[in-house]
Amino acid sequence: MKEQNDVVLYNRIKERDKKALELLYDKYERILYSFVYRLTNSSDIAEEAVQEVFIKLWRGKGVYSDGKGKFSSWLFTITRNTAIDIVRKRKTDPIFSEEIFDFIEDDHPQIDEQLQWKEEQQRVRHAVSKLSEDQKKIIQSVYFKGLTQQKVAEEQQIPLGTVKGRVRLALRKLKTYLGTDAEGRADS
Amino acid sequence: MSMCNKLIDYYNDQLTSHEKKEFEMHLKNCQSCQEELRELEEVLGDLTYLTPEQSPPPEMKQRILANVFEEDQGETKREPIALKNEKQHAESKKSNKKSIIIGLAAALLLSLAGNSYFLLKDEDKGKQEPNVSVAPQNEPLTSEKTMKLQAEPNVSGEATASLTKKGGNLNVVIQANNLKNVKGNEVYQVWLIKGDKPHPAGAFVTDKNGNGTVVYTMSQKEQTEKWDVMAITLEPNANNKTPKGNIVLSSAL
Repeated sequence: MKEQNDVVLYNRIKERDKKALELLYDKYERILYSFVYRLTNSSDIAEEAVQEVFIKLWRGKGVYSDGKGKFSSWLFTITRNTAIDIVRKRKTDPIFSEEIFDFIEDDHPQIDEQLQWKEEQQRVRHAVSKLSEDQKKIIQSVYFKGLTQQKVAEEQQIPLGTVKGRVRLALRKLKTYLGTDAEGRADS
Repeated sequence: MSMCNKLIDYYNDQLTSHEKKEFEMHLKNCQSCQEELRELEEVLGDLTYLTPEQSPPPEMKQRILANVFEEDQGETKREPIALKNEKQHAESKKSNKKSIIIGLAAALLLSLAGNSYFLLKDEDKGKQEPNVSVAPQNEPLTSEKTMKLQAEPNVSGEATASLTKKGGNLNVVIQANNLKNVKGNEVYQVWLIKGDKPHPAGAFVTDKNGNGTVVYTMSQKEQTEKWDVMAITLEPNANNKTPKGNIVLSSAL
């Protein structure tokens, strides 16, 4: 998944190039849909979120710039926020299902050979495997469950004031093992 | 809690709108929060790749792109996602529908004749000439326009059909209001009809207020066809290749 191409496509979309939007759609449809599906366990919300994301892109509501880091991460952030928003509007509860992160805790997870983002998954799994169990849990609570800091503290049984620091430590470690990709360069 | 400690809740969109505004003001001037936020977004963003694959519905791309470009027009409502299943089923078979429809033309004619006076009002129903509509000359549906569908006698509700161009595609956007609510597996099915041959063109269900919307993207071939009539029937179930229920609304094209 080449990042530079994404930015080229994004810039063409800003120029109202429908073909560019379609190309970007084709590239990210599957992972965005899968992502929201895993977060919400709802195919309806998954489709709605993907649609909202591309409407935002087309209308220029989501603005990407180099300062925002990798394009893919930016797109995932928007998608995740959109999903949170839809879940909230629909008053569906709980926001994210619990078992999402389980396979990370599995010592010998199988990687699907056909998976479109197999290489990225391998890289990320490797990085996550370097985290301590507590770090995995805290990252899971923040990213895949979208919990408040308060709830993270309760779940982890740690003081509220230490949540942020612990998240940061886990991020640092992840960043190290994710390698150059987290630095905003092309990730192909 | 100091402002910097609201970062994670901001990231997870858990702040009230007031707190959010406050935090955004703070963020503008706090370099360490800016860096941490970027780190959260960027590093955690990569975790998205841990997601196992889930196949999207086959017609999702078509639906979404139609709706995305629909937004340009600012004139039509998007189809509620909750309706997509009916529509997806209805559309998923459309590629092989035409031949079936031709083969069943005679049966269709009978099924339509009982409740579609508009088709037959001044024409011999056996004829194939697509000349039953009130339009002086039928033309392919290539121009953008909006028309009102008339309710059958004893039927409540109204609907408009808007034709909108999207790139090379022509979308038919149906917006219906005040219809009788669907029960069980019932769906409202849209048909394009040429002569005595109905062709399914999307389906929808009503919300609790009897309103429903569907966007149907016509294929190139459908666009070149000279359709006579658009009709909406209340079908006992989705995916019917031919109308089984009664016509509730219709319009000549």
